[in-house]
Amino acid sequence: MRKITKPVQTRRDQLQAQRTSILWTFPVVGLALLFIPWATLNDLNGDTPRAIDYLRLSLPVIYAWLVVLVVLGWDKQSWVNRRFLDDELTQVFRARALKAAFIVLMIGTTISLPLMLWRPVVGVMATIVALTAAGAAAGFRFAWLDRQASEADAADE
Amino acid sequence: MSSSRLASRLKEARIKAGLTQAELAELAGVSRKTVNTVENGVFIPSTVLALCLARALNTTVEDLFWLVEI
Repeated sequence: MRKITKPVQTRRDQLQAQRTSILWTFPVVGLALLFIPWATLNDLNGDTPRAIDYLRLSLPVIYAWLVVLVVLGWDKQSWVNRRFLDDELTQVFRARALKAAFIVLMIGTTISLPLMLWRPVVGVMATIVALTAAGAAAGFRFAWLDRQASEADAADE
Repeated sequence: MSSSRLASRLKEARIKAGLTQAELAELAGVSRKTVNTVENGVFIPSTVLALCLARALNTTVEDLFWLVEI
């Protein structure tokens, strides 16, 4: 039998807890930032957007991407600590989280398509909301599954 | 394939081996949460993980897991 090193498990638990807290926080921030593109679209009022406007419009979407990258394990922390953060349970959580995100994305973009044809500005906003919501769904689902597993874990300790 | 579910005596085998969940997790190279969810039937392990758990407990996969008809 291999020698058991407790600090390895502690490190694994710490890193996984850290990831879960990121996956609760980032989606909340992304959703909270949705007022920025809304205000930007209202300010533009049909004018040609400047570079800063593009950035303001994409801010929640950037947060959604950050969440998806963490869920996929493509962030720096996950690359560096792959052996702690990429076990089999994580892969199951990842698949379920991405499934939830995909459903939200399909519903969101399906709704935003007719909106885009009706009023392009509303359609752009709906697309931003759909992308942000899909990223948030991935994060929340992953964090929720992890929390459920942790609760069972704590009850069994 | 008939309707069946996976039954496990992982917890009994782990306790018999005098290991905590954390210790078994470390031996198998997974998180404690993984061991716990397998023990509780929340998560069905892959063949690789089942083999790793069996090796860590010096037993066979068939001794740890079997199918129950439902």
